[in-house]
Parts: sequence; structure tokens; C-alpha cells
Amino acid sequence: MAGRELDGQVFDVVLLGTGVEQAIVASEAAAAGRSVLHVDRSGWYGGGYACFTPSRLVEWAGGARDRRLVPRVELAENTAGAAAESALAGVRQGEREYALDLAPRAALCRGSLVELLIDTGVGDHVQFRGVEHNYLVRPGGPPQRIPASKEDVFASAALSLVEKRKLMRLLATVGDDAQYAAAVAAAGDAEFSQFLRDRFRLDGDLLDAVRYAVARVGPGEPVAARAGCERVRAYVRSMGRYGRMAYLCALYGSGSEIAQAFCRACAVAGGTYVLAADVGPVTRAPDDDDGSGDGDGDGARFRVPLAGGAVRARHVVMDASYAPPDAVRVASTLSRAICILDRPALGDDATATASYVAEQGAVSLLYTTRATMSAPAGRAVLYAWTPGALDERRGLLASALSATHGPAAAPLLTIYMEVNVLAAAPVEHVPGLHIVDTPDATLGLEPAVAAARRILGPGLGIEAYM
Amino acid sequence: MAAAAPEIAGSFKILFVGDSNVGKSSILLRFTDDVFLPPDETSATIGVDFKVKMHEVGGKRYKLLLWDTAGQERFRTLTSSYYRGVHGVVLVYDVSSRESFEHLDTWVEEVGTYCLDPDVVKMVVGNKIDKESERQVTRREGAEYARRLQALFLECSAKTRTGVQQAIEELASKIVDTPALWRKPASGAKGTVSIDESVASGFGGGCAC
Repeated sequence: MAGRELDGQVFDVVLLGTGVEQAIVASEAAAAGRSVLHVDRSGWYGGGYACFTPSRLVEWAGGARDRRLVPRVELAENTAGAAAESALAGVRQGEREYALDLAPRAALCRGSLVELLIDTGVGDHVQFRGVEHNYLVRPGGPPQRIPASKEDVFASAALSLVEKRKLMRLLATVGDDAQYAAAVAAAGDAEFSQFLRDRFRLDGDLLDAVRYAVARVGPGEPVAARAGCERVRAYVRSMGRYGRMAYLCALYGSGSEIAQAFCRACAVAGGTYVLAADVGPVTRAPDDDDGSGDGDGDGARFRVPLAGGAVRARHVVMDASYAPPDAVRVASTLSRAICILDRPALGDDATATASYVAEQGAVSLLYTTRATMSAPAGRAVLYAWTPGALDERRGLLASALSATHGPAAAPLLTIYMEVNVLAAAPVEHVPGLHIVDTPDATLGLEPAVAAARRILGPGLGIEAYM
Repeated sequence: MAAAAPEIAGSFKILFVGDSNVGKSSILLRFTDDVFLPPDETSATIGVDFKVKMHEVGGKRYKLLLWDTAGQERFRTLTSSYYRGVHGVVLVYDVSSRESFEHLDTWVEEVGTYCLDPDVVKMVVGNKIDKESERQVTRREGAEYARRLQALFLECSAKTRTGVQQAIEELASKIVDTPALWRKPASGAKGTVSIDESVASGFGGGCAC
């Protein structure tokens, strides 16, 4: 249907994949008056950020899943030893009330995504809940709450007086422009953790809390003092904007909802949407060898086969899962777990982030409930992810999950996935072709906004982003 | 000093579904702005996200938020968020297009997939009755279809105004009469953060204590 109707049309921008980055580009390009066609090969929005109910997730794992992006999916037996099939039966009740994210995300209250949502008005169409709590989790648990305000720091029974003083000094430094600039200048090119040790005398839990749970440094990720301090500052500055929390999580699916809101804004501005489309491979327009515009003057540089027909495009923006194999590399591999809990272990109406830190490695976690409309009342969803292949990381993920939910709750269903972060291969740059990395291990959505802006300004030449 | 506006008794999200070119945007614009765009100018509906119109029922004021499909019905790519928190659905077909009437089934199915609230008020509307000579769907067929759906039914013409006001008014009145639908707290409303520019004093807002 779509192929026949659109056949032969020329668009300023054709986007493949409806992830957050492309959705932002689509909406901003349409708002700037460009003609936009936005296509997804799946019958749903979100690309690598897609969101499913449990049965749809299992269906996707066995069927439509892109094996290059998600090479492995395993359904683990629950603690009672039941096979996957009966585990799925355990979550059948209220099945439609679950929203399970392939790549769970949150947004800093004072980060670039929230600013973009405000500036564009798209924020009117997304509802958020605060990520009220942030935990540091050690092997065996229980999760320790990270203070969410100065008052929390003072009131904390877990912190000694000396620790409180160290933490307050750090907070005062990042909260004050002059002190902050002086501290960062003094740091030179020191490594972040070393800087925290030397300058603020942080160690043990305090150091790990700041490093992993606040700055969200990945395990083994080398971070310079300046970059680490920027992350702490972004976190601290975000607190107090919409409440005490630093992060917000979208209702009904953290990334796909935001992608859909931008897609709708694009459609309102005249963009055309096609889902479940047989698309590609994209080729250079045959009559435009030099990339400077073709004989008929429409400037189309690419031919995009679509559902039996083909459209022509001046720019093509695609996530790397749409690119031909020789144009893509696996930038990194992640292991992810999605765990449905029989009880809301960390609160029935709560959303939380957690960082599990053990000798074997560190794991990021996100806990969601009915608060974000992503689980039925009385249940919870716990996500865990860490860099590395599943065979090496399955045990670490399992320890992180059980230490975080504790003995009070049991998993009804746990799904493990190995996910590749696909990125453009370092081949010759093709003018007008923009390849977006697939979702990585970050929690925040701010890098997605930065990626979209790089395409909008230098790529598409849209002035607001130059 | 201006008198305070009467209190708003309720706010209803109403949306339009149905095939392309059955006149969903035309009905919306006729109702809210009393305009009709000739067929060659319908691309002018680009830019309509939703329109707001105040409406009185029984001496009380209600705010109607009427959402347009933004063209996403063309290839069946409406976002699930379009259907979220909806109180009333207008299922539109063109009386001069048998196909658009027959496609209502798939729209009903889609509405059923996304609107989990059984109380959502549905209305079947046959548009373009000004094209009487080209009619392919009888009034009786439309009414019968609506009856099976337990939906309201009306025929109208966005072009001539006939029936448009009445259609939306009936739908709004039915929603008012179904307090279970709109009096219950909106899903997830408690503690929900609305993104806006209001900036509370930040934790790191310069207080160096």
C-alpha cells in the first residue's frame, strides 16, 4: 500500500528506524519545513528502544528480532524451577499492564532532553515520574539509599560524620561555579576516581556511590576528572527542579514513549510515517554520481526501495541496524536482564535506579512499577545491564538482580539478552548519509539528543543546530 | 476587573479515527473553527495537533480536547499514545465510500487494542451526506453497525455544517453521563511530573554551605 502510493516521491529526509535519535531528527526537520518520510521495518515504534508486553517480548525474541542487534535472548527459569512457558503464565494476569523496555532509559531533570521537550512543546505529550531513589548495592544486599538532598545527607544514619563532611564538600564544590572551575583546573588530566580520592578523600562505599550511582561511570570505563565532575554536576543540578530526584522516567515505556511523542510531532508538521515496511537496501541515486545533485534538479542523492516501490532522498538517516553489513561494526556488546518480580521489592509506587558494585564488575539497574505504568499493581520490573558477552556476564547480572530485590521478592520471569551496540564502520563518508549508533549502556537520554543534534546541524544544515 | 471564568467541570480527550479522506479533520475544524477547507487545500490541516473547545452541558462547562490523527491513519501508524487517556472516539466513514465503511472494523479493532477502558464512549459518524447522489452506504446500515458496537450514530456533512455540532454535542453529553469514565483519577496522575519551565531552587543552586 505504502510502496505504491509513495513510489517515485522525493523527500528531503528519509529516516529508517524509529529510535529516539531519529525521532528527534524527524520532528525537528519537519518543523524546519523539510519533507520527511520516516520508516520502520517493525510494526511498532521505538527501534532499539522498543517496549513490549511479556508475551509480545517472547514473540519478538522468537520472530522479528534482529539477530545482528540482539544475537541472544534466553528465558530463565524462575526460582520455583518452573519452565519458561509456565513462568510466562505467571505474568499473564495483567499482561497488558506491563511495559518492558529493550533499552530502559531516564532523563536528567535539567538535561538536554528535558530542555528539548520544553522548547518544542513535545513535552506536553509525555508524562513522567521522578526516579525517587538511587541505590548502591553490594553483593548480598541490601540496597543502600544514596542521599537525595543536603537534608538527606545530614539525616543519614548510614553515613559517619566524617563521610557527611566529605560529601558536603563535594556537593558545595560542584554547586558553586567558581569553586567548581578551580577544582577542575587543579585536577589537570587526573583520572576521575583518583581525583575523588585525592581531592575529597572519598573511598569505599562513598567513592563507589559517586563513581557508579551518581556519575554513572561504566565498569572499566576510563573517565577523566573533568568529564566525571561534569556528570556529578549534571546530576546535582538536576535535583530540585521537579522534586528531589535527578532523573525522570517516562510513563508506559521509557524510550519508546519519547520516540513516539517526537514522531507524532513530526506527523503534525507534515511528516509521513510507514511502519512494518519492507525497506532497503539504500543505494546512491544512479543519476547522481558526484553527490552534488542530479540531472533533473531534485537533488536526490539516494534511492530507498520501499514496499515494492522506491522513494528518493536528499538525506538518509538510519540506525546502524539498517546499514549493510560492510558499513557497520559492533562497537560493543552488552548483557541485559529484564526481571519481573512477584512483589514490589523497592516500593509499590516507586521508581529507582541502582548500581551494583562487586569485585567481578558493576551493573546498572532500573526498578519500575505501576508508578510509571509499566507493571500491574503489586508487581515490579527490575532491569540490569552491564558491558560484556552474556556467557561471561549472566552470573553477575543474576547476583545484581537478587542482591537488589532481596529475599522479600522472587522473580516470576527473567529474560536475558545479549545486545550489540552497532555503529557506522570507519569507511569513506558518504555525503547525506547519516548512521546512528544503536542504544548503548547509558541510562540517560542526553547522548541521544547530542547524536540527533550532530545530524541536524552539521548534517542537515538546520540552522537552529548549526 | 474581569469576572472569573466559571470553573471547568471536566476535561475530555476526544479523538477521530477512520480512513484517509473521510473528513476527520474537516469535522474537527468545522466544529472548532466553523471553517471548511476545499479538497485541494486539505494539506492545510497540517499543523493541527489538537484543538480545544469549551462546551456547556447542563449549565456546566467542559473542556473538549479534539485530537487529529496528523495523517498517521494513512498507513495505520498512529502512536499508542494517541489513544491514551481517551474519553470519546469518533469513528468516521464517508457515506459515498463503501470501502471506508467496511474498514471501520479494523479501526474498531485498533481502538479496542489501545483503549483499555471499557467505558470509552464511541460514536460512528457517516460524513459527506452532501454527496447524496454518490451515496454507497445507507443510513440504516450505519445505524445498524453503530448499534452492534453499542456506539452513538449520526450522519453529517462537514461541508454544509449539517449534523457536525450535534454529533460532538451528543458525544460530549454521553461522556458527561458516564462519570465512571472521567471522574476516576487519570492513570498515573498521582505524582506525575509535567515537564515545564517552572524551576524550583536547585539542590546545587549556588548555596555553598
